[in-house]
Amino acid sequence: MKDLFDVLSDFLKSDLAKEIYIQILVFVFVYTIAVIAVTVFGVRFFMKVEKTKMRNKREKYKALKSEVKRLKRDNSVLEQENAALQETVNGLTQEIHKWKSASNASALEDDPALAQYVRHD
Amino acid sequence: MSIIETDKKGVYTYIPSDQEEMYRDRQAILGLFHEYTAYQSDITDDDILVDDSSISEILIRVDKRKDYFKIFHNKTDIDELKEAALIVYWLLKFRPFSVSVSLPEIAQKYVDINERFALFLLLGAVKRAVDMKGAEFSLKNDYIDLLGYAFRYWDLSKEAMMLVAETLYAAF
Repeated sequence: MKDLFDVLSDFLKSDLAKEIYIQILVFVFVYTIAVIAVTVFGVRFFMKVEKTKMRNKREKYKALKSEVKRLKRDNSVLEQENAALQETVNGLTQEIHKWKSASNASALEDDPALAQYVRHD
Repeated sequence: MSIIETDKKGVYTYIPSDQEEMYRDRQAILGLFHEYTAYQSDITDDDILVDDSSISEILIRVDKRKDYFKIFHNKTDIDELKEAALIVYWLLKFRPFSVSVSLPEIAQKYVDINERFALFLLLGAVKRAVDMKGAEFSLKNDYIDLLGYAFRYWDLSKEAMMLVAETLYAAF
C-alpha cells in the first residue's frame, strides 16, 4: 500500500502539478508587477499633487510678499505726505498767529539790528 | 566832479566814476549790509542774493545827484547824511537784496529786507552824525515802526528822505 508521501510524490511529478505550479508562478509574477505598477503610479500621482500644492503656496507667498512691499511703500509715501501737510499746517498756524497779533505787535521789534536805536523810557 | 559842461549853452554830460572808486563804494554798501545781516540769526550769507547791477545803478545815481548839487547849489558838496538818505532812496527803488530760504516763515519775514536795511542804514548814518556832536541818539519804537511802514508803502521823494535824515539829526 502506497503511503501518503508516495501519493504526494507521484502527484508532484504529474503534468497537472507542473501546470498548477506554472500557473501559480504566472499569478505571482503578474500580481507583483501589478502591485509595483500601482505603487509607482500612486506615488507619482501624490507627488504631483503635493508639488502643485507647494507651487500654489509659493505663488501665494510671493503675491503676499509683493503686497506687503507695496503697502510699505504706500505707507512711506503717506508718511511723507503727512509730514509735509503737518509742516504746512504748522506754517499756516504760525502765519495765522502772526496776523492775529499783528495789530498789537510791532513789525520791526524782532529785528535786532534796529533794536539798538530804540529808546527804552 | 564827473559831470562836464560840453558846450557853453549849459549842456552837461555825465562821466561815470572810475571802476576802482565804484568798486570801493560797492564794497562799502555790501559791508554795511553784512553788518546788518550779522544781527540776523536765522539767515546766513548763503541765503542772500545780491543784484550787482542794481547796486551799480544806485551808486551812479547818487554820484549824479552829488554833481547836481555842485552845479546848482554853488559848488557845495553834499554832506554825508544827505548822501546816506540818497542811497536809502535808491535802495528802496532798486531793491538789490533778496533772501532765498526754504522755510516760508523766514522768507516771509525777510520779504522786506531792503526796507529793513534802508532803515538800518539811515538810522546808522543819523546816529553817527549825532554822536559826532556829542548827543545820544535813540528813537521811540513807534517812530521806527512808522518809518519802516513809510519805507514800505509810502512814496517818499529824494528830498523828503534827506529832510527826514536832517530832521532826525536836528532833533538831538
